[in-house]
Amino acid sequence: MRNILILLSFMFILLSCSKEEKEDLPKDPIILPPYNPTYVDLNDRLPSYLPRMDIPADNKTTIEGIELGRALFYEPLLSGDGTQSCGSCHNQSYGFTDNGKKFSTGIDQVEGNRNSMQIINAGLRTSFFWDGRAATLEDQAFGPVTNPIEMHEKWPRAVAKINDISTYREMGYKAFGVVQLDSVLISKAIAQFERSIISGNSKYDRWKKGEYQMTPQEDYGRKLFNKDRDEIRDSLGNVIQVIPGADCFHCHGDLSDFTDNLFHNNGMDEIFTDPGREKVTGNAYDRGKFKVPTLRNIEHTAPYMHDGRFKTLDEVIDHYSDGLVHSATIDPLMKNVDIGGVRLSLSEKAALKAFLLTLSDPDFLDNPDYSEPPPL
Amino acid sequence: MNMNTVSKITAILMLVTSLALTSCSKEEEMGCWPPLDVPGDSANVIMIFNATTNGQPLELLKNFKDPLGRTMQVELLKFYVSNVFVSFNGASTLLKKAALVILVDPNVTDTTKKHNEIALKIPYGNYDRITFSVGLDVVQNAGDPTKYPSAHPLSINQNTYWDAWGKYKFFMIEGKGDWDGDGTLTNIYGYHTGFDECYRSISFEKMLTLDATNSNETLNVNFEVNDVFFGKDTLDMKLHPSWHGDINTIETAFIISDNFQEGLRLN
Ligand code: HEC
Ligand code: HEC
Repeated sequence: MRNILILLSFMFILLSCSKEEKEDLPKDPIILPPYNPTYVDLNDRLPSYLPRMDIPADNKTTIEGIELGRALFYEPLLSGDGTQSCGSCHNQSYGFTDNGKKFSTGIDQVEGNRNSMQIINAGLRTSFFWDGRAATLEDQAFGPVTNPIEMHEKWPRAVAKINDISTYREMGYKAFGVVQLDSVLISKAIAQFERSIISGNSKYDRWKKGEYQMTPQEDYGRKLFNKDRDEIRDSLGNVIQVIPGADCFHCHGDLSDFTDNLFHNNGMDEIFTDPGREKVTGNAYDRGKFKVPTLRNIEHTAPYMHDGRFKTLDEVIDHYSDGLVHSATIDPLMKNVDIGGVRLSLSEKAALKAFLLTLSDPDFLDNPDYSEPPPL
Repeated sequence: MNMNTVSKITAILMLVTSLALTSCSKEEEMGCWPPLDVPGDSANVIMIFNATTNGQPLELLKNFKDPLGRTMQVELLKFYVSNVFVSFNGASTLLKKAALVILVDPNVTDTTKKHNEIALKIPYGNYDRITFSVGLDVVQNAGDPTKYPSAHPLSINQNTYWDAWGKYKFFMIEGKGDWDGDGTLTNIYGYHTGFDECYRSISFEKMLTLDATNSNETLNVNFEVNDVFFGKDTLDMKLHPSWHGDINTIETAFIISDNFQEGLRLN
């Protein structure tokens, strides 16, 4: 009973407050400048040979939206104790991954069990997180702020802290034509910034545009990447010739930006501690399947896989070459699992690695447009 | 008219048809899922593709026996159907340029759409034949998959494109089998047919009278999965567990393309 009374009086105070505020409104309304954002087509910034991004109709990209999103991406006020921003676990020089760490640590020093993911050409992805639990970048950006093992904040508090800063209110008005930001608009702005984070000037890209000639080793690696390992057999079934190939293109096809945007089990475990995609769909056949990450800037996003188990690209290549293990949900495309993998020779491994390194894009890794902006 | 003129005329005719086929109309941009608009009154006809395993409806990862008594499962089955025509006394009407039929795919979570159905609009009239192809014609196959909107059947997002070969995959079937009979499904198979050489056309005699009193029809196209491997030719899945575009072993893709073509039934 007492509680209810307290609650009632509290509500009364709240109500009367807002009433007072209304009466207190200045007689002369503030004249706001016209809301006139500059729309941009991010697809113009993508290399021509990549697919086009689907930009949500209710979150068209604007210069002002990107600018606000960038500031918010690097804004530690969005976290519970003001120490962590998105940028803390998504560092540009590491291809927007977490500074070489296997697992990320949130503000409460609690360690997660997933390796931070790159944010590169994210506008081309069709789902987010290792298990694809977010469908859009807008949905995705909504999550980390309140995640207890990440920024561990409550949205109303985060929103209030942002709206307290006049520069944010100004930027919010320019981006969305509103005088107060809310959690939805904050997520939308961050999503706009993330879509603008585009990598398209690696050696591979310059090769595509005819501006770079791959070394023979890089080019051989490219061919292996795009080729099946094939065995020619005689009528008795004996292998008479092996045509080398690394089989990577099935899931990391270059025209789809080195990911098919789907979930596969790439033969790493017999028993799964992390159910992966199954956690989202509830289907046992999705157990141990994870989202295929893009391979752009892969040199800089170590360690690798959803649990960061591989420290180097050599370890990754060894896995696909000799380390595959069987499980109920292993992908039919991992067709050499019986012999451990695609069985590359040392020189083939070196060539494949040389090709993967052509996906590094220094202009991306230090593009000032994606870096932490000067303090507001 | 000498031979040269004939071949010139043929060439021009082919060019005109292919132009007609490629010209990306508005509804193509929409994703090609809506049926082509046809002039005048038309009937709504749905073509439904059904697969069975030993007569039972095909299901994702459900065990069934092949004709050799070995246990197997299907994990992915999808294919292109293109250039769907109806005709009467040889005069044909194009109904659909291309559609992607998906029968089994664990990654397809959108259950609101019937991925095994193709909606067609057919002008009122009498017809005696329906024709379609499995795969994509030369012009479609030479297209750039990054240039289509993401929902389009030819978009790169459908994961039906071989970047390495610059061509589309026409018919994709993947799964697991127990070839050695040890009770575990540890053998993997995966076949993606493709290249212009694997394009197959099928034509069925079918009497259709479509008018205001009969403006909704369903055409069921059925096939038995076992027939894809054990048909006119038999594919030794143990010896050749996969085909993904190696021209040297395209024989494997031919067996699957031919068997599938022969195994389709209309009723
Ligand atoms: C404590 C570290 C941490 C913080 C802070 C953090 N992230 Fe992440 N981020 C991760 C981890 C770890 C994953 C993978 C998690 C998973 O799959 O379950 C991830 C995944 C993502 C992805 C998915 C990428 C893809 O391709 O699927 C995006 C996008 C992303 N984060 C953006 C953000 C944004 C925006 C913020 C700020 C609002 C943020 N992150 C804050 C660690 C962090
Ligand atoms: C059957 C699909 C498939 C094939 C084929 C495949 N991959 Fe992967 N790849 C994946 C999946 C799924 C992941 C994420 C797995 C996880 O984290 O558990 C991945 C992860 C990776 C990573 C780590 C990326 C990161 O950000 O952590 C690298 C590097 C990689 N693959 C390279 C290759 C190479 C090189 C090949 C060819 C030798 C190849 N992949 C073949 C599906 C595939």
